[in-house]
Amino acid sequence: MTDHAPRLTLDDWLRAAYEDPAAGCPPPESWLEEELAARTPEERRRLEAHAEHCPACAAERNLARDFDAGAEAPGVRPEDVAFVVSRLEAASPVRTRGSAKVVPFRVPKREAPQVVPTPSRSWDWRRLAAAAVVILAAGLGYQLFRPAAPPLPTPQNGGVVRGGEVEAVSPVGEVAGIPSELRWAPRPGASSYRVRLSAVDDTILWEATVPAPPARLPAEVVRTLHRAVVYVWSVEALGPAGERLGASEPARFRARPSPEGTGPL
Amino acid sequence: MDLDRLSDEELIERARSESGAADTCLAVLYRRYYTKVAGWCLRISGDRQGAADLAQEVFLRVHERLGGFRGDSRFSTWLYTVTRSVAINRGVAARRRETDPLDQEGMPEPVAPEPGADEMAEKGEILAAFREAMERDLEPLEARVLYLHYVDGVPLAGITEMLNLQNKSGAKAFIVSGGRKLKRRFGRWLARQSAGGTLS
Repeated sequence: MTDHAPRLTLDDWLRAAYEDPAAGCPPPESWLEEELAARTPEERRRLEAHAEHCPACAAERNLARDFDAGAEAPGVRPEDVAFVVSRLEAASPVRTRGSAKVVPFRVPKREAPQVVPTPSRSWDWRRLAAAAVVILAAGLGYQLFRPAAPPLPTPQNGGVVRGGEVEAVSPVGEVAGIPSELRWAPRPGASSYRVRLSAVDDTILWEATVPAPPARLPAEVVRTLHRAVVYVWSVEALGPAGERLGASEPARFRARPSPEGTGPL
Repeated sequence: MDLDRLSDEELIERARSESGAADTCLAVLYRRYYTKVAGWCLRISGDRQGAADLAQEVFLRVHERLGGFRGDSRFSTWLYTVTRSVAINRGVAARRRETDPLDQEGMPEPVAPEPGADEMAEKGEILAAFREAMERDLEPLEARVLYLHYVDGVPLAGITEMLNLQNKSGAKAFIVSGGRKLKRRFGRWLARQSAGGTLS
């Protein structure tokens, strides 16, 4: 053992043991009632049989069932639910008038923010300067935070994602199997590319910088990918000094589920 | 239009396409799930102040990430993945700041060096051995409690509540007994592997 080797702790081992594809565990959200309802009786039977001997899935099933139960879960007191909900109502993340909270959608605005000085008989140059500063600040703020173009639809059954500054080629849409590499169209002038693979909740699964397409996914990353689960990847083209030349739109893909009874859960 | 009649996905689509209606649509959407998320956060937090903080962070993350929701799954499923992810990150961080019940028992955590790429086969063996130890040496309840606490980051009070544990010290007793069994089995296995030179 070297002094520099990272030391793995109990939670690292437990997590790795059950993220290992050999464990055959389905994604945690598979245990939600509505996800189970979308499966065939045989698939549900196999899942339940798996959870009978798998403590990780038994634990995830507990969490999902409690989510399904929500405020009806045993032991949850209505007055406590009311307290939490009141806190949520009081601190809603939805933008309110005059606030500067996060806006999730980049909806094109029809007009730029305007600050129109109220006409006054007693304007002097200091008031004009102050108004100019406000207008400049508003314009700068708008440029910094202005909406980007809405995301492109994901092509069906393969194809490319066009319209970004770099074209993601494959995998895109529904693909036959778990991919082992990511491909995109080379961008003239690019010296390298930064690629990133994420889960749909933006958890980064892998990222790397490569000199040219394609980027091969490490075996340990491929082993963590599941069929029937959507993943997202994107690529940035970098110049000789590492400067960003352009980027692809996020490309989404999922491998077709295994034919019933032939693959992992 | 009566927004309450729209499905979750229709509300999101409307919020996405009509800037003037976005705030109202999202407020309707989120309010639908306040009670469900509140109940879940209460269940796993074990106290209402912690549950309120967790629920607030959940909806903040949901709001930040909603632009990336493409409708490949139901909104409620996506909401669960975000909720679970936020809860795990908070829970694991909190657990690491607290005294581990296993440390109190004087038992060091099982440790090993991170294997390199050429040692992945050995790592696969370790992981298989770990699963075997979890599933054969431990009682099912011990293994489930260990997983909920160490991987999902659920506090001991939350596990005690969730699994309706009636013993005096609740989940802590299962952590200690399960951890002891795991250490007994897995510690020897690790030592054997290290002695064989495969991990050094």
